[in-house]
Amino acid sequence: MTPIILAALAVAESPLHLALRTIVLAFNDVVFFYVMFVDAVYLVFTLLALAEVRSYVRSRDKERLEQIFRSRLVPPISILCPAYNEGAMIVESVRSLLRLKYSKHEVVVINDGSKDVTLQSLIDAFGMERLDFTFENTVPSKPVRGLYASPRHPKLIVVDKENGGKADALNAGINASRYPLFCTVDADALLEEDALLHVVKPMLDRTKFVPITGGIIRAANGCRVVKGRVESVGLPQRPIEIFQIVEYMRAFLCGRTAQSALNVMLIVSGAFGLFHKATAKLVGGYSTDTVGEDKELVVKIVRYLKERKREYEVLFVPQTVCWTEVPATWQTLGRQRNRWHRGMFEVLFKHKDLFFNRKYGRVGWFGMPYFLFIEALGPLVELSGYVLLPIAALLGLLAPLNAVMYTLCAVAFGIILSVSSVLLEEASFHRYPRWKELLTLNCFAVLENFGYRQLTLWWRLRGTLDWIRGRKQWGAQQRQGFGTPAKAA
Amino acid sequence: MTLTLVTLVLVLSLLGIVLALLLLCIMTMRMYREWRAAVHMRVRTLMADALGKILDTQRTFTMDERTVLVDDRPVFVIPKPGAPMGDAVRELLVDHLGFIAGDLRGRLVTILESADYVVASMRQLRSPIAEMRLKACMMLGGMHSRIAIPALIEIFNDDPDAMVRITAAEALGVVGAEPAIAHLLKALRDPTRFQQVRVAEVLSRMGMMAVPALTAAIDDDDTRMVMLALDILADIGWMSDFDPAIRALSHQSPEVRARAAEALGRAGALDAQESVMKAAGDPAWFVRVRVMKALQRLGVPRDRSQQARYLGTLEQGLHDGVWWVRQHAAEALVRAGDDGRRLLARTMLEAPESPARRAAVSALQHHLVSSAAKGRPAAVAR
Repeated sequence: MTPIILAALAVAESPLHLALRTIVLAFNDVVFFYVMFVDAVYLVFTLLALAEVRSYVRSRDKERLEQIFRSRLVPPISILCPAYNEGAMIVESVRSLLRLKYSKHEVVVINDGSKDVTLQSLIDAFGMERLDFTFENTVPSKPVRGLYASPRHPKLIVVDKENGGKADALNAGINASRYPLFCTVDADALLEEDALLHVVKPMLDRTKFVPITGGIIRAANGCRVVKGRVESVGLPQRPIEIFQIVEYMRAFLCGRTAQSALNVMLIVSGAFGLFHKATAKLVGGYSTDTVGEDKELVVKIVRYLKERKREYEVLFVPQTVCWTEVPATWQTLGRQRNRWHRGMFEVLFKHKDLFFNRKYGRVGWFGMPYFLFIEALGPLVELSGYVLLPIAALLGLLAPLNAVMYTLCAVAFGIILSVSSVLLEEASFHRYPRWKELLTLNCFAVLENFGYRQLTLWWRLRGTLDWIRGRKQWGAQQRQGFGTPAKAA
Repeated sequence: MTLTLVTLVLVLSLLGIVLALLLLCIMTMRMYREWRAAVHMRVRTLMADALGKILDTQRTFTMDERTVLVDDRPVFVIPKPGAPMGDAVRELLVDHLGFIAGDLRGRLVTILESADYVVASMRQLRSPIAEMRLKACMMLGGMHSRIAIPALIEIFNDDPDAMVRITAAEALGVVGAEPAIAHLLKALRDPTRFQQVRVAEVLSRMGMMAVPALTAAIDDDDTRMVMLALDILADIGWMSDFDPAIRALSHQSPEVRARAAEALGRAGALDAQESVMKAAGDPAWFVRVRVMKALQRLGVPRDRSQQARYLGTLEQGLHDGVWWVRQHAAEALVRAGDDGRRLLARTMLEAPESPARRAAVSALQHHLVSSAAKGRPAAVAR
């Protein structure tokens, strides 16, 4: 495309030259105003999130919450933990899940046809016994090979099934679980001890039906982790990890909180989310034909409730509930972002009839268009701006100074947004107690707009192309493990 | 062209100013937080010695406006409420109030009342911002002052915000006001579960004081109310008047029956053992599970004739069609002394594929392992 433009522009004052000149300039304007518009939307989100988070922090009473949730009157929760070849860390993960503060919960580990010792290590560590009955398959999943329980650990159930992927394993978990709410947790995620208390609260204190809640997920890289618990929070050494910490702050603390305030939240992270089981079953559980199964379930539930005209709220708690290890290499990060973006396109395409459909209210008029035009198509528009702006400047269509100013404006707005998310963190939870960490976070909030943001755009664009080509793989993530402790706070 | 450039420069400068302001905000916030923490630390250090004297029962304690006098000598001047110093003092006193009771609690409450902390919070109850009223209710609950009871009852009855109303009910419960029980029971009918749970938790903390009202609530027409009352009674572990709970064992809702069995088990209601045993034939499996658990808690009856019936009920549970019932029946039998374990050993002679046999083997194995771990020889009757 670019060589054609260049060739056409070389023939000065030809009609084609004039037409292309107009197109290039118009496109540059479109990209500039698009970027400004997107940033303005994010700015509104940040302001909304600031109000929400401050109000949340002011009215919370952590000690009281713990007392209240010792009561047996709160609905019990089943924690679903799918495991595939997690033999090395599954026992420790399950121990930390069993330790969670909650009056009544069970842990359902789903061994998704692992080829390693996942099942055996669970049997040995917890004295699991094979049960002589199985459960009804209310949502479809691959055949179950066995169900295990332990008289010594009545809170633990292990489902052994044939390999079918994460979504399929979660479906088996939904079938095997006993309680009315289920919480999905990645086998490598570290939960805060009071995570369940915080995420279940909105389900109980709203008069409207709350089928789904989620909480903040943070990067555990750089934190001191002892026995599956984050003991002290710190920053990692590698810039790639710090960039992601700022990015998670912006995405969760600002983005999700604001979407929740507007009741248009359509994403609850697969690493930690709480669902109303009966509703999840009604929509057929997780879909196994997408890599964005977590997003898809949320959209399915929202759609189901909207179609039946039921009042509901999908809520996000601005409280840290879960720590997860973020990719530490550029290659793994690229694969992850590619997968997330493919997943988003799959979900948007699968539910395309929601767009601008009056039946779906603000989800159809704002939620879905937001994800398509801002989140999904953003990389394409923004990156083409990065390509066309210098071309236009080089060919004399735009004064170089103007081109530089355009770029600077866009970047400055981006920086303001990134720094705002650090401000929001400082105004609410201030999990990074040292001055050095605060300054580092601010520096990285500025720096992420010079290279990192563009790189993630590139990965997301690749994800778009892979989705068009119909690629379905997950792509493996190399885990570093939680062995690198930060200096004690 | 120039105009565009000027506009862009202006926009850029504006963005730069915003960025600088944001950074300034972050730094100021951090500095304010650190200063506040330092003030709190200082107050704690200053008050530590004074508190030691105030909480000494051997010494006399009086207040002269804001000055605390111990043995007629001034030990501390309480700062005005509101300032960071005042917040720190209130926080410290409320922390202590959570752990002490009786006359000493009275001393700290007197300090809070005399130094206008209670009045300040009561004033905050009239704030137009719901969050402020909520915070004020929490504080008044923490301060345990009975002066606030009328104001809290008013908030409980009239506040437009549901969360504020329920927090007021909680505060009333914490203050321990007996008249609050009626309000708390009224609040139990609130539409949201979280609020019910909060009130239920307060009632269960009030203990025996709340029992008469709760046992009366078992006969309520609202099934949800009956379940809540039974759950709270189970938490309290009440001692008498089991009849309403025994009647609930034959309630039409299986949820109520299950809760009744559990509540009776937790209360150790030996008078109700016969009725609980009868409930072992309940059609709902989760009721049978709770019955087995309750029987385990109630233990083997002293009366010989009842013993055979007790073991017979557990044996019936051991041969139940549901794994959980069998498991709990087997556990109860392990704890039912030699007779129970003999019964389990006999079940081990059944066919290897018998589910009852598997439950028996598992329970006995666990018993052997835990006895060995405790260094005691396992008693498995032959």
